[in-house]
Amino acid sequence: MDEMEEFLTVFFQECEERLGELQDNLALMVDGEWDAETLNAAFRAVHSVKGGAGAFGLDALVEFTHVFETVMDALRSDQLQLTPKICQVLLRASDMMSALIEDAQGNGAADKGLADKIRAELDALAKGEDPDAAAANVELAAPAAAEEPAEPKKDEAPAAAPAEAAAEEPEEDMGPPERELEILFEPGPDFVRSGHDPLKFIRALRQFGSVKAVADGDYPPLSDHEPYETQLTWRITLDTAVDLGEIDTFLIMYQLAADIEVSEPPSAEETPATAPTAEAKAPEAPAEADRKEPEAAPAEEAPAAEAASEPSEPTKAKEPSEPAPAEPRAEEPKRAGEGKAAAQQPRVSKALRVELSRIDRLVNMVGEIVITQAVLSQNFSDLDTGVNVEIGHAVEALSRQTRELQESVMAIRAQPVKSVFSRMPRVVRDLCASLNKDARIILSGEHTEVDTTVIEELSEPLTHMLRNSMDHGIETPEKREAAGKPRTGTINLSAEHRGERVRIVIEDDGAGINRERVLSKAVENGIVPPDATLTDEEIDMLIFHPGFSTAEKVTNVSGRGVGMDVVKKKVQALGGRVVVSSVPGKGTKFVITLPLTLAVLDGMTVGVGNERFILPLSSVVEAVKLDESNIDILPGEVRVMRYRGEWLPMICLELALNMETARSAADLVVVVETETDGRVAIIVDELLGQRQVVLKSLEANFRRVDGVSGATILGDGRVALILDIPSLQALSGGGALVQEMMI
Amino acid sequence: MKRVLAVDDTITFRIMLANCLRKAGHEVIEAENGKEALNKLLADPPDIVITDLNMPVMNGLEFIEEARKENAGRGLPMLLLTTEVAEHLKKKAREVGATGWLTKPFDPAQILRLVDQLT
Repeated sequence: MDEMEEFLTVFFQECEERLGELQDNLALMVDGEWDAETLNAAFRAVHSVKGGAGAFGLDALVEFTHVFETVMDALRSDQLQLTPKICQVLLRASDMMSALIEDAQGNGAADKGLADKIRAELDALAKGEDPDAAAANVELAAPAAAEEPAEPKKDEAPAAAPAEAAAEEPEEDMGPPERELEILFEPGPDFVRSGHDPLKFIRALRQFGSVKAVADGDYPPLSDHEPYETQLTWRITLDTAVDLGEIDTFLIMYQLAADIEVSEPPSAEETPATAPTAEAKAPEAPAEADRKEPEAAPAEEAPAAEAASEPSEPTKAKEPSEPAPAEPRAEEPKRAGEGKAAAQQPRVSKALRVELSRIDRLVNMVGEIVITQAVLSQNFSDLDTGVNVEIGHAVEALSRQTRELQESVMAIRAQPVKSVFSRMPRVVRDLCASLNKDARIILSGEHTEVDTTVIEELSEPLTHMLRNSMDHGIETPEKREAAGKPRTGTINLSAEHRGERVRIVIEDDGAGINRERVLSKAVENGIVPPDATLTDEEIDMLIFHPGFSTAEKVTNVSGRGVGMDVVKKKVQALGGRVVVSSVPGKGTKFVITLPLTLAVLDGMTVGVGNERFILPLSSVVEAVKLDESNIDILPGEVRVMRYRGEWLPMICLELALNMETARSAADLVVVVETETDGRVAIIVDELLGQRQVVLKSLEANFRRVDGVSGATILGDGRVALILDIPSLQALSGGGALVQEMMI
Repeated sequence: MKRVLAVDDTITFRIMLANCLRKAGHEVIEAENGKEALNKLLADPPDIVITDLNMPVMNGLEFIEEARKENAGRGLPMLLLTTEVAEHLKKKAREVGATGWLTKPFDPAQILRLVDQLT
């Protein structure tokens, strides 16, 4: 690859990141939760894109970012006051910047007319307040700024901040002075294991006043990290007017598993300046921290997030009045040498950029090794025992090591869901505008890590579901008020790990599912018979039925009847499940569970004749003995089986796949769930157990085969096909017909 | 809305607890002994567990001990809500990994606060 091209690739990668930062910070501004550092960070993001674009001669991008940057500069130097209107222009500008970056990569053309229009708006903003100063800025401020944030050194960024921080602080006094309590918080070794979370403890303390937590102790490298062990202790400074008794009552809950000492520091003189500034910042700090705090791996990331986001506030607040005290300094080594801007600190760690294709290759190779190892183990266990004990041990060790290797490699591909989640507030805001509704979205667990490929596929269903929640769930402000709810609706979007899966929850506090309407619509559409008696849960699940829509009129947001069944298909294609539950008048909750990776699949190995097949474990419901008396044959040679009161179409693999194989027993069936929520029975000879299989694409190596989604190599070296239930059902035919006749 | 697993063999107590939680908008799963609770916990993991100590079949301590061995129970907040006050039981509770110890009768406000705080 041409050297220049290589640099370009890196630049575009960086642009992605910068855009992300810009959008994060713009979101804060729109929510009114910004401070000087927010503006600085947004400025730096635009500025560094401009810098890079200049180096590569991407003129259109340079011109645009230049004006953008000028406006940001005016904002951060207080020459321009942030208003909601300006926020809107900035949001549009960030979209355009993104389009121009796409453009520069040769993907899709940005709308030149729109670009010019937004540029004109930005120009007007830059000049509007004070044309002379703004014009001067264009010449002066930009080059001056270029030295500082383009290569942000960690010492400089905070140094720039205090000036602005000081400017906005003075009048935010919070009433009578409170005292400072020192809390020494030492979680016992089992603190996390017994259901606690240091982060939640620290957060809960906030109910009493503003909290500053500094972590003590050495954190082991990630490789030695024990998620359920707490190695850190915290020194917490709590500014509070609440009396000790109340705080003691609060602490009782934690004293089973932690040592907590509360003391009032001897003299208030030793920690001056902190109190008022910490208070002044308090409303912002929790908001910021909430957004950045990891949920899924609390013990692992808690100290970093809490420590990093907290000290950044004393640093900028204190420095003008006195040299930074020892506490924030103690945190310095952690971020020393990062060479990143202050705003990024909460999530930076030493990182190496690697192209995905290289990692994919690694994943593939490890997949091969896993298979080879399985072959080896299998062959060895077939040998006479006692052949060679040493070899036996080595084979054992190898199998353990390959498993670890595989896990480590998979971990490389893991990415926080943040990249998808962070787009969602924007979706909600846009929908608020187009639907005339008022809603906010609260994100949590954005640091939950999931395989990159899963993340890429997640965006679409999530957007769909948010749309659905906004369109059908959240009521208009008037209706909400009438129902005694706050005018602004709330949507919670959260992610967390549950065992080997990730659980994503979208929960709104809207009207809930209108079951009567859903049911009558389903009857109308012929999805359920008129006399059917369905449980509430069954009615709720009807919204995932293909072709189902209750929207009285088709809006451009949702309601074309393609929304929710698409979500379900997508989630199932990822090997996951989606469930909805709803309380009328209170809200609706969607829960998606997904596997952490697509490269490995939990499968059930079944034997048919001499062949082996893998069924995705997530779709297997049950395996039952075949009983001839339960089988009926419908016209068209379609066989059906009675199963727990329903009739299931049966799939005969040798017919569906044209196999030339002799069945040995054929007396077992595996009941599996299909995408459309029906169930089918697959006839097999034997069940060979569950295993994790490494997926190999047939399409990439051979060609697409109906009824099969991929292949894997078994321990004995044989190839087993992984069955794709929906297409199998189509192949074996009659599935739909059977279901119709059932009704 | 949190999913709370409420375990108590005394129906009245269970209903009181469940009502207090449901009124606050939480989802409540009920179980009447440790064994049943363990099954429900495994079938569909809750966000937090509030369990009685003295129960037939499997008591609260055994339940917590068993649950902690499972993936679904690891790191899960599990509170004991009991009339017992004996120190040796508290010590045992710590050993099996209970998250906290509450004494009956319970204060609804405190329960709700804890549910928010611990999940």
